[in-house]
Amino acid sequence: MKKVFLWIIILLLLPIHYINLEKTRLIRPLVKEEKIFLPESFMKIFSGEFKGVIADFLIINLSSYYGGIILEKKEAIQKEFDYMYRVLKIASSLDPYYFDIYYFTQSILAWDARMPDKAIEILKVGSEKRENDWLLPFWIGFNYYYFLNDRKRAAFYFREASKRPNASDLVASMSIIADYEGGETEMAILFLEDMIKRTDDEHKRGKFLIRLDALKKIRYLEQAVENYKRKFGMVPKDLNQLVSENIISQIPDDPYGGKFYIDEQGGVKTTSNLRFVRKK
Amino acid sequence: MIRRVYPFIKITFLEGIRNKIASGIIIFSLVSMLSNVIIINLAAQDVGKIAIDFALSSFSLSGLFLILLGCGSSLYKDIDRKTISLVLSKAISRHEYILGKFFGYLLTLFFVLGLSSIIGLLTLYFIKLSHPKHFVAPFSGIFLGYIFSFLSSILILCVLIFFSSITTSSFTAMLLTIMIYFIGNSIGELRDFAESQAAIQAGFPPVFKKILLVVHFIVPDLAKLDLKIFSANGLPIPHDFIIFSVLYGIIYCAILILLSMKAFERREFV
Repeated sequence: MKKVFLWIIILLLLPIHYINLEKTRLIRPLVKEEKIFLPESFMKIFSGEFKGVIADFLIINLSSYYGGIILEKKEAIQKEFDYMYRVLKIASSLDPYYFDIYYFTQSILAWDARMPDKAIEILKVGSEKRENDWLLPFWIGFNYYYFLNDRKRAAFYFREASKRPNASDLVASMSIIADYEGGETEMAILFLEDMIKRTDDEHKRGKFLIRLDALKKIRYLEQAVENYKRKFGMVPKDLNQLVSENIISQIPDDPYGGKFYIDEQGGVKTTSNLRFVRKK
Repeated sequence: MIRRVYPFIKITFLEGIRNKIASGIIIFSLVSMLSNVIIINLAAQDVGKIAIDFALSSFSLSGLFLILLGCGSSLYKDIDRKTISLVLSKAISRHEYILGKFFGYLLTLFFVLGLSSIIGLLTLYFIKLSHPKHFVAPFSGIFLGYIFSFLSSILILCVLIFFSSITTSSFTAMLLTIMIYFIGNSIGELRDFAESQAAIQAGFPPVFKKILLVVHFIVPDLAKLDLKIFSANGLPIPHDFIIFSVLYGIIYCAILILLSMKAFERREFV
C-alpha cells in the first residue's frame, strides 16, 4: 500500500513538473546571453587540456546566438558583432586549426558585419596555422580586394592561396587580375610564367599563355607610356599618341578581344579585363 | 619478485574492475558518445573535429574520474581496515606493495579505459561513415590521441600514488592530485605567457619567470601528453615529439613511483 501511494504521488507530481517547465520557458525574461571572457592568454591557460572542446562549444554557442538574432530581428547591431568578434578571437587562440572559426569569421564578420579588418586579423591566424588550406588566404585576399579595395595586398594573398594544395585555378587568375588592376603587371607576368612552368595540363597551359600574351602587351604599352612621360613630361591622352609620336609602331591587339586604353591614373588597361569578350 | 607481487596485482585489478565506479565510467562513456552523435549536428563544417574533440575529452575525463574516485581511496582502505598489515606481514615488502598497487591500478585503467576507447572509436567510425566529407582526420592520429591520453592518465595515477604515500588522508591526496592536474595542464602555457611580450608589458616581475621554471621542472607537464588538437584537426605529429613526450612521461612516472616507494618505507600504520 505504501509503495503504491508513493507511485501515485510521483505520478501526480509529473504533470505539475511539466506545466512548470513549459510555463517558465514561456515567461522567462529574455536575457542576452553575452558572456564575459578573460583575455585570450588567460583563457588558454585556464582551459587546460580542454582547449579544443571549449573552442567547439564557443563556436556552437556563437552560431545559435547569431541564429537567434537573425530570427528575432533580422540583423545584428554593432555591439553584438563586437561580441561575436571577441568570441571568434578567443576560439582562434584556443584552437587555431579549427576551420569553423574561420568559416564564421568570413560569413559573419566580413560579410554581415562589414568588419573586414577584424575578419582579416582572425583569418591570418588560421592561414598561418592551416598551411595546407588555400581557402583562408583566399578569403583574406578577397576581403582586401572586395571590401578594402587594396589590390596589392589582395594579389599577395591570392598568390599565397594559389600555391597551396588543391587550390582552385580561379585563385591564380584572381591573383593575376588583382596584380593587373593594382598596376603590378610585372609581378603578374612573373607569377604566370612560373605557373606555366609548373603546369602539365595542356588546356590550362594554353589559357595561361593567352593571359601571358595579354599581360606582356600591357607591360609593353606601360613602358611606352613611361617613355612618353619622360619625353613630354605628361601622360598621353590616348594610346594613339604613342604611335603618332613614334614611340611604338602600332597598338597591339588584345588576345581577349578587348581594346587597350589609358585610364584616369595613367595606367594601361583593357576593355576585356583579361576575360574573353563575347561577340554580339 | 614477480611471483610474489603477481597475486597482489591481480587482487588490486579485480578489486578495481568490480568497483561500481568502473561500471559508472563505462556508462559515462556510452552516454557521452550518444551525446556526441547529437552534438555533431550543430557543427557548421568541421563535424569530425568536434566529434574527435568530444570523444577524446570525455576519455580524459573518464581517466581522471576513475583514478580519483576508483583508485584514490583504495590505498587508504588497506590502511584503515588494517589489511595492509596482513599483506606486509606476508612475503611482500613495502616496495613491492607500491609496485603491486601501481601495476594493479594500471591494469584497471587499461581495462576500463580500453573499453571506453573502443566505444569512442566505434562512435567516431560511425560518424565518419555518415559524414565522410566533413571528417578528414585519419584514424591513426585519433588512435595516437587515445594512447597519449592514456599515458597522461598513468601519470596522474603516479601522482596520486605518490601523494597517497606521503599523506595520511585520502582527501588530501586527492586534493593535491587535482591541484597538480590543473597546474600540470597549464604550466607550459603559463611559462610561455610569462616569457611573452604581453607579460612584460603587464609588468610581471622577472622573478615570476624563474619561479615558473622551477615549478615546470617539478610539476608534470601534462600538456606534453595532450594530442587532442593534433588528432581532431588531422595534423601530422612529428616523430621526435612522440618519442620525447613518451620518454618524458615514462621517466616522470618512474621517478614518482621510486619516490613513493622511498616515502612508504618510513610510513607508520597505527
